[in-house]
Amino acid sequence: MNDDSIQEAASFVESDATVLLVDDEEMVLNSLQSFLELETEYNLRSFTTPAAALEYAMDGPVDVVVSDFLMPEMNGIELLGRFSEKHPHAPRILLTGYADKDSAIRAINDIGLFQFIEKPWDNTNLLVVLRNALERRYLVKTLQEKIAEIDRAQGKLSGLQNDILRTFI
Amino acid sequence: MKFSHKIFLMPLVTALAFSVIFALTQRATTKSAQTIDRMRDEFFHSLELSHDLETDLLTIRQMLTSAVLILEADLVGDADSVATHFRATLLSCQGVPGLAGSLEPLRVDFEEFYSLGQAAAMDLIDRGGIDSEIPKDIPVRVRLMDERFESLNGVLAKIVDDTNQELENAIDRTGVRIGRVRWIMNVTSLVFLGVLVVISILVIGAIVRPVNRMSSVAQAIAGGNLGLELDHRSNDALGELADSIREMQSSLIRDIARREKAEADLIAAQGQIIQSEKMAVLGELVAGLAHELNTPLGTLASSVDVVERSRGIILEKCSTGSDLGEVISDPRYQKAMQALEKGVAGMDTALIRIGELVSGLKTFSQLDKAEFQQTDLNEGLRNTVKLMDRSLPQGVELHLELGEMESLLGYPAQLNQMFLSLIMHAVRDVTPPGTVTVRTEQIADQIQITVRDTGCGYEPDALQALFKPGFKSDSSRVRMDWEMITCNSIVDRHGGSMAAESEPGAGTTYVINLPVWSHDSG
Repeated sequence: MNDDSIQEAASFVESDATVLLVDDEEMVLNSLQSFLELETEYNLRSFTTPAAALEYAMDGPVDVVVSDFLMPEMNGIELLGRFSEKHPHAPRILLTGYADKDSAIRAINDIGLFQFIEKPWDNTNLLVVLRNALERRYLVKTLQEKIAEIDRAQGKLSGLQNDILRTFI
Repeated sequence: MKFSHKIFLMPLVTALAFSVIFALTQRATTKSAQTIDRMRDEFFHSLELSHDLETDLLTIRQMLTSAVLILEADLVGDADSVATHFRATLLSCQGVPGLAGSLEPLRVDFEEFYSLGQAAAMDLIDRGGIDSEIPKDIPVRVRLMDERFESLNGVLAKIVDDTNQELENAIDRTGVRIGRVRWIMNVTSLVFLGVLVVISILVIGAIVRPVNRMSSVAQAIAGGNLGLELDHRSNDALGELADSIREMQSSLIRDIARREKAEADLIAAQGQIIQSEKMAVLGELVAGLAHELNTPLGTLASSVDVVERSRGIILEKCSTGSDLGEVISDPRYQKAMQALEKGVAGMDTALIRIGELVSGLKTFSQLDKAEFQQTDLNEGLRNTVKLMDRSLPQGVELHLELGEMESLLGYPAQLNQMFLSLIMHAVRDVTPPGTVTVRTEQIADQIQITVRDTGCGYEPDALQALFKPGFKSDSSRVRMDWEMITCNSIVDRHGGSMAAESEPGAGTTYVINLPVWSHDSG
């Protein structure tokens, strides 16, 4: 994917998208943040513990979650699983240095992970994945809105239909 | 049950022979005594008889003489009855052995004497006494009669003498016989004694020696020496015993060989397990290390990328901007400058982390081998504690109870690092207020170091996991922990052992034993 396409994809994305970053390593959060601050206008939220991230997710907006795998108390897969309860449409990305791909792939299937990125990561690649995730998030959101609109229209239509039927009967 | 027949027959045979000899000598003695008895009877009988005969003879002579002197014919008749008695006595002597030969001349002499006497007496009486003229032949006849009487007496005396002689001879013979019997007895006793000695030697040879041999072999077996060979072989109970000892010996040898092989197999298997465990540890270590390195590497790569991008933006702004003020006030330029700073800081953090990891790895693998030397553990502990004092959390007390000990051959730097790791681990487990106590003590040629904390303690599984490589989570982050593994490997390298005991909530005690004379194994 070239930079043009990235720009194109970015045009789908709302500039105020909220991205959650969870890692027990402060330096990872810092480097992710400095990169994303430079290249995007995302609303970044960093957490060093899964518990703090979950607490924020109780009532804060969440569009994409990027999480480490190995963390104290709770691992990344568990954390991302918990996120799907509250924010089922937010794409979830696992950023892991742990080489156990099997469990990561299983997690992708089990909890419907959007992507799995290995540490050390490539910033450009990370950005593409994030944009794709947000695009999907946007598309899903739009789709939901359209479906709701259609539902509403269909409701109206069926109301009309009922009216017509009642008029005739 | 079988016994050596030969051995038990020998005293029996000897006893039998001895009793036969005893019976024979007994019989011989009895016979001799009987003979002597008989001879004595004979002697006394013949003495009695000769006395009777002598008395009779004297009486007859007296009577006949008196008859001649007083011319009493009745006396001749009396003499006749005495003569009859004499004849009867003589006849009765016939049964006495040894006398028989002497009797006939005696009888002949007596008859001659008696007929002479009787005839002389009758002659005188017929002539009317001696007053009348004494016939000339009377004195001749009396003289003849006296002669006869003398010879009769002589014969009788001879008989007595003969008998006496015979008796003496018999006694002599008996004495000789008794002497011979005594000799036989002596010889028999000697032979019996000899036989006893021979039997003893045989018994010793047949029983005691093999039994002694068996006993010494059995003792050797009990003492663990299976090399002694038992050569006793026989068809009796001793032989059976020897056979069973041999069987036991060979089965022991077989068992030991089997066990030695099993032990060797076990050791080989253990070696393999240890080797594969080492490989597993190494694998886990490498996996953990990769994870540990990926975090700072990711940061580093990202930071480098950020710096690169920032540099690009800054260069672009500088080349397109009309003046410096405009460039500096451009928000994009400002953002890039910030990112540049953050990127450099990130690089710095990542590099420090990588440096820490590499130095930890170096300590673990002992790439920097410190010198192997005589080490004063107590001194090392004091220094370690001094180093730690400043970093001790409030409310955690560190006690040192250092016992006297010899210096130890080892790597001081490693030992100090081990103490530091161990004490730091203990201190981390303690929630203030609490104590960590370090105790040293020499027990024989072992130095014991005990580190006891009043901290959180561990469940058995968690305690075991402490000594295995893997990820440990503390309050802030998950990290690869090789503190305890490093401690263990340092203890290992010094030929010692390390153990830990813990009770959740009560604390943990780590015990390290190091030999005073340890060798460089690494």
